[in-house]
Amino acid sequence: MSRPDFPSLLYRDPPTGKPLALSVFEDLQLTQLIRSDILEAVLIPCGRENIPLRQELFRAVEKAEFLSHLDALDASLMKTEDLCRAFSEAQSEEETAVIGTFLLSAALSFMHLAAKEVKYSGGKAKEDEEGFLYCRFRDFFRAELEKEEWKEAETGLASLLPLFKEIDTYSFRVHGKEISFRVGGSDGSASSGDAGEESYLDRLRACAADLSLDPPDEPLFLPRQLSPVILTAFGKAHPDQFGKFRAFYEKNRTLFPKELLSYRLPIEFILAFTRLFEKIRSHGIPLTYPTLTSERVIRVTEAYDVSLFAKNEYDIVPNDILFTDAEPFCYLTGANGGGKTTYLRTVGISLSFLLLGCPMPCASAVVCVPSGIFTHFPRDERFEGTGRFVEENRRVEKILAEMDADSVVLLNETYSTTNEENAVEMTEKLANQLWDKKIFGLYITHQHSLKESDIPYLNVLIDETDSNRRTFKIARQRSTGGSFAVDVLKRYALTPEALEARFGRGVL
Amino acid sequence: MKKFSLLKKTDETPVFCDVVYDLSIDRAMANICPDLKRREYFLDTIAHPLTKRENILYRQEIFRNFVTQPALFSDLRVLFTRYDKIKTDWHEMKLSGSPAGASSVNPEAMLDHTYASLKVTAMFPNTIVSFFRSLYDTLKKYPLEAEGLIAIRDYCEERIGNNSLNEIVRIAQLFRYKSPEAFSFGVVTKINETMRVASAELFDIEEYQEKKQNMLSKLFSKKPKGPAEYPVEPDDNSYEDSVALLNEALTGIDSTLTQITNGVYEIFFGLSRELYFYEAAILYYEKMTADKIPLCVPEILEADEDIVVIDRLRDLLLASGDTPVDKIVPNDVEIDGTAGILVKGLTDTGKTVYLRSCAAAQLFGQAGLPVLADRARLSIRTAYFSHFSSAEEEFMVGDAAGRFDQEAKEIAKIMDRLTPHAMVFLNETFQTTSYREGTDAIFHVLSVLPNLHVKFLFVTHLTALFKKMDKTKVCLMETDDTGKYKLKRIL
Repeated sequence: MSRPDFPSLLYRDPPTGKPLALSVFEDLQLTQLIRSDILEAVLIPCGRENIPLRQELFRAVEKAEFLSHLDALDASLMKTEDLCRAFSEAQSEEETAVIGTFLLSAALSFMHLAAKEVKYSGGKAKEDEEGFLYCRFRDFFRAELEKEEWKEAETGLASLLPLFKEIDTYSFRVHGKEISFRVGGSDGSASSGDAGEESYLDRLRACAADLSLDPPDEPLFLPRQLSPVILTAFGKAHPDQFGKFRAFYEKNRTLFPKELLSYRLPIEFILAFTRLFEKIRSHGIPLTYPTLTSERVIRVTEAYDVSLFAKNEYDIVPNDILFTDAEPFCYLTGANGGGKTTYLRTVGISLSFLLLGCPMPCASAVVCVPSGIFTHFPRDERFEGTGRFVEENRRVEKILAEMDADSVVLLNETYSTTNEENAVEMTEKLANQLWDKKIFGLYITHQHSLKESDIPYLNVLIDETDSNRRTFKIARQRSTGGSFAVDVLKRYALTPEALEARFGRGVL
Repeated sequence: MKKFSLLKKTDETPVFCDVVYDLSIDRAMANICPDLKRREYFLDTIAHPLTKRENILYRQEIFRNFVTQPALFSDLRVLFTRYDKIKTDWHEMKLSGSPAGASSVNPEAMLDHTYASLKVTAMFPNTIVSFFRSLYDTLKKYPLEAEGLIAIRDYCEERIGNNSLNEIVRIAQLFRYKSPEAFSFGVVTKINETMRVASAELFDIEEYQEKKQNMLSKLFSKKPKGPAEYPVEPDDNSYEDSVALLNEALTGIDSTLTQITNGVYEIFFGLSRELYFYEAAILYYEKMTADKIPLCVPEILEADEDIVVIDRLRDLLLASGDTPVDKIVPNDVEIDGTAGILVKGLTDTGKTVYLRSCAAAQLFGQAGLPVLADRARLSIRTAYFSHFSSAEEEFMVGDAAGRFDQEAKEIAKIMDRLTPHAMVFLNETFQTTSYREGTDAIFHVLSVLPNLHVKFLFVTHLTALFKKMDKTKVCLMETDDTGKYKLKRIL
């Protein structure tokens, strides 16, 4: 039997772009919000043709019914993975036959779930509500289930699986080294214990319920593989049942499609980001599906650095992002703790979300699609390495070699590991190189003696009237203060107008 | 399961209260209650005001019972202290039984350890039931009026005869003595789809008789042999499995019994600490009574009645010290149909004392305690805020603009947190900028407070504020020339 091509849930066609480095997500702190293995599954950027398809999928998952359906698919795959693991550790024919049978059953459950029509409480707005990628996936499994080999397997399982209840129990009595076993089934043919007595746990649970106590937690129990003596006893005690399991397994041993397991990470990617979006929205931050343009521009208003959620910071100051052909690259300077790295991450996260096909945490976005993102953030010294400056330089060289005209490059204090003279020279050289190639990007630097050039500066805004309070706003100019007491009252919404707006007109 | 409290009948929603230290209530209580633990508990309780009238009356009743029957309080203190110690004893006994590097020991050693832990757990259900008996016997001795104490007595009576509780004690007793070798155990296990054992539960434990016994026939003696039974000759692996599964089964009982015992135990846990509140409160009562300072139980009204009326209120801090009662000048407080009280006067004429005494009375009344007055009618407040300016202190060199900014920030925080029927105590706020700007700014803040039914008491030198205020809407007061520390209403 030839293996079919299982369709991707994330790409229309097999992706050919260059993958991002996982270190980009690490630098942007996205790995604090989303598991690394999930991000690793989507390192190849969407590309312009796939972004709208992924957006379709994310829009569809905003509906609770579809989200719930994906959760069920994920749970089904987790169960299948557990069975696969147990199958690989089987020590006897009995185990192989039974686990192999249940593995096939799990595969069929998944396939049926995947093929199922999702029912919405308000009805479907359109036929392919879930979008091209998911509908292709669903239709594939519908076609698979029509095949003869699956129908036969299903018929076989229907009569075989209930037999398991005849063989799933054993009891023993022990005193010191004296043990006697009995194997039976939980269907009552040879019930647990002597004369089916209640276990002490059952009696305690009943007492707890009667006393209106919280039900005790089920004791933690790590499933334990049975020793071969017991497994053999099972086989001998139930030759008919095990014989049937063996026969079924032998007939269908090549049917199980390992490819099913490869859907786990894509589904978890969709679920993990959907849950992140829910959290973002719950904190009043807008999510926007960007408008794609062929013009070379990235224009985003009120973008948010949502990686701050990982530090339980939710009061995030948004900033605008603008890259054009005229000004593709900027320096970013300013006071310590003013929000420069936060802004860099804001840019990186906005574009990462774009390349993942996700809505962006911003008020609006009109963007061309970059080919990739490169980041250069400070790293710890590795003792086995050649020193920080050499390492830093090596990483920069790698970026320059791998980037192309449509890349975005984000540099955070690059060349801060050497003396000032060297740092200034290297900084200017790198920035000019990127500027000349019209690469979109930002360069955070503390170097103040850079020569004047065409490269513009962004600064963090400071409020000088307030002990140089950081505003976390980024702009090309600084603000100036106004008159004093009124300014103070305005800042804290204690003016008559602000108070009236919040509490109503004053009555005294 | 229900949990008893001596401090409240039903759960409260947390309210904001940051006035205890600003208004020197802590200093007053330091004079009255030298014991730090009890004092801190008392202050913490005061700083979490009750907002349900039923809870305030609940506390008033219990306090009254304790004050009129000191022996009752004393007996309960002993009992609940012992009861709270059960938990620490239990944990210590459990910890002392844990072998180092338990994960690396052999199966028999693990079994011994598990059984030893279960034996410790098995002691406590009986200990707790015994406590219920002692508590019931104690409470039966005294005439009780407080609803809370009566409920505890009746609860104990019911529990003593409860079948399920006694069944738990009976099951626990099975594991109290000896060691695993003395018993034979019956365990039933279930396997799952991965052909692994997914559960192991104990269904039988019997003292092992040292007579010839065929284990197989005993196992099978009660039921006829069925078609699926198959006796197995154990080897080393299956023996190890069996011991491990028995260990799991016993661990399951230990864990379940622990949770159930904890659940039953929680019902009265922590009451010895709650009694700290009453201990400090009793000291307060005794001190004031001994010094002949008038005390009254305030009438507690719902929040929306919005009243603070106190006749001849005296200051707690002064009363807690050695000041004789005739030197503590009483003053009246009346917020009834007005937005709040403004107070002005020269330095050291008792304005801040007045502010402080009013806050203390409101807090103590809302904590279910008597207040230092002849009579009091107090509505429940839903939050307490205070702001003390640094202006009253020595002139501070520094950036005045910075201090005004700091004050504005603090007032803004208060405004952000206001809830309907809160109360705000302000002492010389907004005197860190020009008088005109400060007057205007604070006037606008105070003007909107009535929209939320928030009451204020504001001591100030911003005398222009008094001209801006409508006398029918705000109670204006000033220090009275006829007597030092006496305040009078400006009519």
